[in-house]
Amino acid sequence: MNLNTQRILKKKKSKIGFFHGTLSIIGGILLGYLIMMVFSMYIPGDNAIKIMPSIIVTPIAICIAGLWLLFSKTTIVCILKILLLSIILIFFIKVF
Amino acid sequence: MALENNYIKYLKVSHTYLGIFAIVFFYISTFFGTITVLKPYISTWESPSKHFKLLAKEDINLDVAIPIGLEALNNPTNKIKITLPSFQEKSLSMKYGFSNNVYINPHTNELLNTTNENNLLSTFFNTMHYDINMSQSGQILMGITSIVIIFLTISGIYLWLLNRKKRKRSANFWFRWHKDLSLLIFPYIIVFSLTGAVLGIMLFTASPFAYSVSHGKETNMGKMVRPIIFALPVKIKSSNQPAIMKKYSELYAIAQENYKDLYIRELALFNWKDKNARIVFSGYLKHNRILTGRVNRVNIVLNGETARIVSKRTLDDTHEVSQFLSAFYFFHFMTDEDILFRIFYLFLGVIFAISLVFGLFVWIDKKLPQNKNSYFTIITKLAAAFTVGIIPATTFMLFLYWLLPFDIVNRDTWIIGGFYTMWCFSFLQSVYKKDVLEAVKDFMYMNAIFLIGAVFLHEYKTDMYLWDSFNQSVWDLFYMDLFLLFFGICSYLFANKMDTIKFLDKFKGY
Repeated sequence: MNLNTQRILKKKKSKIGFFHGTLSIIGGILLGYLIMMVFSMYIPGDNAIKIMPSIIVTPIAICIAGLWLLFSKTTIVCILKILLLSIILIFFIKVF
Repeated sequence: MALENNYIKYLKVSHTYLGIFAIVFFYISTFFGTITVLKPYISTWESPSKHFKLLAKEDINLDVAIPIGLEALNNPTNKIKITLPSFQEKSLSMKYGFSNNVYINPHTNELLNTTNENNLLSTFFNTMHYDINMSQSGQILMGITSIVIIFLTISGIYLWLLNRKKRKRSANFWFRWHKDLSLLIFPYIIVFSLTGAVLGIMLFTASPFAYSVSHGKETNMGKMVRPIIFALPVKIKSSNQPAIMKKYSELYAIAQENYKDLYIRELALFNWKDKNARIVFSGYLKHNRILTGRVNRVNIVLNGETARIVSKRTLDDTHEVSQFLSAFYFFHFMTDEDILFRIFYLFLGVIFAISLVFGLFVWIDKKLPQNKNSYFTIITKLAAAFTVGIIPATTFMLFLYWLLPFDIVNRDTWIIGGFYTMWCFSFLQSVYKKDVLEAVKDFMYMNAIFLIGAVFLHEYKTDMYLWDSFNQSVWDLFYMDLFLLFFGICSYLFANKMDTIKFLDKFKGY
């Protein structure tokens, strides 16, 4: 990784950058969907009860996940948050 | 509630920029959605064939009206849907399978000629509301915007909670009102943004949930959910033995007698004139309109020959998710609600639109001093044309609707084209005039001319003047004309008195 990239990823900023903002949006959408996919799997009931609440709650989950990612000191923390939680959630979806 | 200063800055910046993106689309949606609240009344207003008094259900002669409709549909015997007159559609409408509707005047039991009536205005306003006339891509865009509005609501409330500790009121007029109005109608914003997100984008992108629930075997959500929440009645085969049916009015009375709480909106006929004939009376529960909305109707099924009750679907028989969806959609569509509830929503819609505009002005107010005499002045002009210019553009449609002959070729294109042309013209006017307020004054004058002109042309062309609709008790028509006239006069008075209204000084210099 060259120095410039390292600087962008690890720099603490007083203003949110375009990269951090975009990452929060994309990460928020990804995590929002993954969280609700796991929720769908474990909620007891028929398919309608498993799927419909997730469809309704996902927009809120996306926003909360987006906010959580927004509150990252550096871009690298934001990326790590997305990667770590995605791996855990995908593990839940695929294994159980 | 401690939050790092940088995080608060991040939150403010994201609230501002996502807000600008969302306002552009959500303002249009809110503006037309607020008009769409009056959709049933606009629909009547624009259809000359339906300028008659709403007939009470007990006065409708089903035994005469339904056979006339069946004949117009070439006497089908299966899958016939009959919608009873209501404030939304004052005629009795009938269709067979995927056929076009036929409409019957319940007063005279005559078929209505609706050849040149396609509910252009109400349909266009509704289309602009949910997909800004851009088909599915517009619908998805509106869905994304709705999610952004949810984010703005959450982040706005968060910022408000953080600032509340300081207990200091902001001196910025635009910010103060943007915040106060948004907080006041918080439930309204959440309901509409959430339903907008579900209808706009979530229903199309629900495959991941189907995938996870089925452990990777299925990705079609509709296939998994629809049979559960919209349980279809069991198909009944025709016996091929002709039978004489009971009178529709008799069947109606028996159905109502056996299901007193049911407010019947629709009738459906299956295997008609056969021994296995079925007539389904469906509608909502009088004491529970919220849970028996459009997606969760209850019904009673009778045998057409013997009037024996075949089945009865009560609220307890419906799925919990259907009940939830019914309530969820109820607060967006208000399907069965009449004028009072709709006027309440109209007010909330206006407040929300104002709140959005004030939100935009918070940003403009902050940026304008740094960008005076630069490209930025175009933004303020654009904002004026966008938010106020859309009003005369819309009323120009009403004016054109009654000005152009009904049988002109490509009438819809002329009227819709007129709307867009007028909207573009409002931008030209904003740029041409030095002060935005001067442009707004012109918009209000134009609005008054178009509205008063539209009412006059409507009355002249349909030969149904205000006093006629009053004397004949055609209240929806009377109040629509009166409302448009009142709005037109108010626009004129507002434009006339604009210079003396102190509040408007705040807009000077933009």
